[in-house]
Amino acid sequence: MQTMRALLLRDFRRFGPFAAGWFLFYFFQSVIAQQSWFPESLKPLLIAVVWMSWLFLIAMIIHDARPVGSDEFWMTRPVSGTQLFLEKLAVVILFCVLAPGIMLALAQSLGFEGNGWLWSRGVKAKELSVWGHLFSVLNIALVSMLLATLTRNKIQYVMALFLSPLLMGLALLPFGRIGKFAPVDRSGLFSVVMTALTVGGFLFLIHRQYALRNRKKTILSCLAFILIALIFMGALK
Amino acid sequence: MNIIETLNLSHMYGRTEAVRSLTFSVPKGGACALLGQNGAGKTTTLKMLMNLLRPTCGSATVLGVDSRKLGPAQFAQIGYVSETQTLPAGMTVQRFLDFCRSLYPSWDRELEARLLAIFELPPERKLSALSRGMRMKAMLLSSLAYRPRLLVMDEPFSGLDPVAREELTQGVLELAGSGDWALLISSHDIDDVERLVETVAIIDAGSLKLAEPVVSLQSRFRRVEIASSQIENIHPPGTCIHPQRSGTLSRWIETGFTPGTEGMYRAAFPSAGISTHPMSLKEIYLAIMMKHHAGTKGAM
Repeated sequence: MQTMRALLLRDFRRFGPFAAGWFLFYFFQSVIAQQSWFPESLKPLLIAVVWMSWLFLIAMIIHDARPVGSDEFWMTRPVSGTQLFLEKLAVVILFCVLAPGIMLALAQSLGFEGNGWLWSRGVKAKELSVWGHLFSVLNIALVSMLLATLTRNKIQYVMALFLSPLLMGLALLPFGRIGKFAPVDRSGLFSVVMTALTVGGFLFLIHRQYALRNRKKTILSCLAFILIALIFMGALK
Repeated sequence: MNIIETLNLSHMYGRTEAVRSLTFSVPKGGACALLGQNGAGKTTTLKMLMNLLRPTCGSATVLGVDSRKLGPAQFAQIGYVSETQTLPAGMTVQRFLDFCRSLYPSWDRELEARLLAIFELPPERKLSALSRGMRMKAMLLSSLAYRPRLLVMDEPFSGLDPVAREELTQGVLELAGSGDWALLISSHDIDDVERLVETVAIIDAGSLKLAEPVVSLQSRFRRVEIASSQIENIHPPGTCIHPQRSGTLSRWIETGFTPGTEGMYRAAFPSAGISTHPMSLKEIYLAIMMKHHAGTKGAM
């Protein structure tokens, strides 16, 4: 516990100001920039910047103590891979998932449509609850976290961010149109099971990388995970 | 009990063999230096010992645990200082020490204060703003203050000015007084490690060429000079390397010197002037490396 507390304290001190800055910027984008006087032409740019800075924040948190390479400080200190994984997960969830969630709830309660970011369509259509959106954000955060754990620097991370959807698209090609892959039933138990499996799978892969520090093995596990997911989803079609 | 023990430890980067069948040990209370040129395999060896790299074959135990299974319990007793290791970013020296202190139950605040005074580290300066020497000192301080049972240092002196080297050495010697610890240091700066270690292991091209106590090496290596008008009749014995002749002077390095050797020379060359000179560790190391690179025959 002492180690976890030290790690958390260190990351809060280090990334707290960045997260607060991002939070304020996101507040500006989702509330202030939604006012009628705000130029429409700037909105897409703001959305892109909010997205990119969110992804960048995740990379910063993970790359501060990478689970790749052999020169990281924590690797020869009394810190286990599991401890670091749990600590980083807590920081990412707090700064990059719960904070936007609070903003979403705030925007909803103030009557704003939260135009522009992850949950914009859902909020507009009032289709999904805040929690439903949070799960979507969590999934994307976990994917970003996984990619960050497998990369050594921001350039590799950005490349991985761009390449991953491309590879996923290619993997889905044999199954036909990507749109067909939407789960047939998104309600009830099915949705819960799918979410649990997806989140569980990502957590397993990220933890594996922290525990083993072996990129090759984790990438192979990722491919196996994708394959299983494709077979599973194909069977459900 | 050995603190470090390796058995046929090997590592390959792709098809390149960086370390080949390395077998050596560091006993409890022992201090050993891994000497070798750049690219000899020293860093790779230390990284395998610290579970930063996996051996391709062979095995190593550190503090009695397989190096591949080293975890927080062992790292709480190991100090690792490396020129390539990254320090946590965005911290001041004081914050860094506060952070490290919370990781180690055995952290000694008195020793921390003493080392801080020796190293003259500015507590309020950010780690990222420290010079290379200062960073090494910060790293060493954070690796010594919990009184590790094993201190592993990878090229700690490279690129440092003489004052910084001296301060680092003083820092290590501060802990050395406690006795119950072991030191493994890799370097090609032999003068600096000579004061710290009692055993050297020489690695060349990934292979161990020699592992021997410094005292033993210094007692059996001697520079021999023989002055004689009949220089052509003087032939160095089989235990000698680097024979040279100039004018009436014949010199070589004796690798098997014993208290009786000089007497044997006097008996063999009665009319010659014979003198033998002790050698520093650096001179011995250079002689051994030059012999290996020249492929000269002879005992070592």
